[in-house]
Formats: sequence, structure tokens, C-alpha cells
Amino acid sequence: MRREPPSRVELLQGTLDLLILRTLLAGPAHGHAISKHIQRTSEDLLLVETGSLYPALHRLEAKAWVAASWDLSDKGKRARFYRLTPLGRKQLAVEQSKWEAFCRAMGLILNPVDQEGQ
Amino acid sequence: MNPFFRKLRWLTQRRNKEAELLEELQFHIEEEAGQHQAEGLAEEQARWAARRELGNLTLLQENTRAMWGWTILEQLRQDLRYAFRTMASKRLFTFLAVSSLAPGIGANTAIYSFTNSILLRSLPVSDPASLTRAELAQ
Repeated sequence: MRREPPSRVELLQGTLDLLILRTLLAGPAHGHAISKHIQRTSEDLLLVETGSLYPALHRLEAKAWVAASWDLSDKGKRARFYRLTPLGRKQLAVEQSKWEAFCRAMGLILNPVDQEGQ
Repeated sequence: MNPFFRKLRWLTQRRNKEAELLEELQFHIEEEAGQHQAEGLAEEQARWAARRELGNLTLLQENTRAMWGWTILEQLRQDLRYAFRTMASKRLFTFLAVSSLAPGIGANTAIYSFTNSILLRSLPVSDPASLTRAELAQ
């Protein structure tokens, strides 16, 4: 069992919201499940600190991008489930295209394939 | 619902929200502990590991609470309460402060309104700028 993954990437400022929104696209989830999903899907490269996860969730709730309700978890305990609102879905599309544009721009600068050949 | 009204409703349900947040975090710790246990840690150790990972619980609560808005209002309320409590406990100081500030402010106001009516207020005619002064030259 691996306790400490070899290397870990720092979460960039502002990306946590996007990760949360994208995770909730699959369906409602509670805070712990969201954090584990992000960690697992990123192959343990991204670790969401609990200290920033819950403030982020409540911030998104205040903006009405997610809605929260109490429900029973898979183990039958009461948990606060978050789900994406239509507004959040729209915001996710916006944020995602912004992020993709950013990645493309970074890629163009870091790997200038066309120019260096000349 | 408008974000402002949501926050306003949260403000009225403050106590409820606090309890909910605590329950939410408690659930997180339990889940985390359960996971550690599944990975082979003893129950006690698993709980401690989960608690350690969460870090500073009070700070986390505070940061989350800040997202509900009204932090400035809350702090203002605290400051005001503190001010009035200090004033109530230090009667002599309060008395001296009030009895030196009140006449000062009062006198200033009186003198200013006097000056205002004499020097600054315009003359009681319809177009004061067009007034001219005429004198007879000898």
C-alpha cells in the first residue's frame, strides 16, 4: 500500500472550484467523496486539503453554483450532499473553456515546436 | 434565490448553520477514519490520523463561516459590544470622556451655526451677486 505518493502537484489558485464543479457533474456527492474522487482521478497527484475544501464548497453554495441537502450516505449515515445547479453547470462550461485556453497557451510557450526547428 | 437573500437567511439561521457545519466535518472525519481502518489501522489510530489530516478544526470552521458572508457585520457587532462593556465597567473614565467631549462638540456646533448665519449664509434677496454698493463721493 502506498502511503506517500512520489510527487504531488500544488493546486493552482482558483482551480479547486473547477475541480469540484467537474466532480459534481457525475452526480451529488458529499465533501469527503469529492476530495477522494479528485485524488483518485488525478492518480494521487492532486490532494485536496480539507482546510480549503469546505470553505470552497460553502463559497460555491453561496454563489448558488451548488446546492446542499442532507441525505444518507452509502453507509447509512447523515451526510451533507452537494449537487450541481443549472447555474453551476453553466459556470463549469465557462471555467473549463477558460482553463483549456490557458493550458493551450502554456503549451505553446513551453513547447514551441514550430519555431525551434527553424 | 438571490445570493444576498440566501446569505440573509443564513444569518438568521446562524446557530443551525454552525451545528450543521460541525456535523458535516464530523462526518468527514468519520469517513476518513473508516478509510484508514479499511487500510489496516487500528480504530483509535485511524481516528487520530483522520483528525490530524483535518488540521486546525477551529480555523477550518472560521474560514468556512467567512464564506457565509457578514464577517464585517459580525466583527462590527463584536467591537461595539466590547466598547460598551468597557464603558460600563470603567465608569469614571467614561464619565470624564463624555463630560469633556460633549461640551466641546456642543460649543463647536453652537459657534459654527452662529458664524454660519452671520458670515456664510447669503443675503435674503433673490440675486445677491447683482447687488451693488453705491456711495456718494464728496
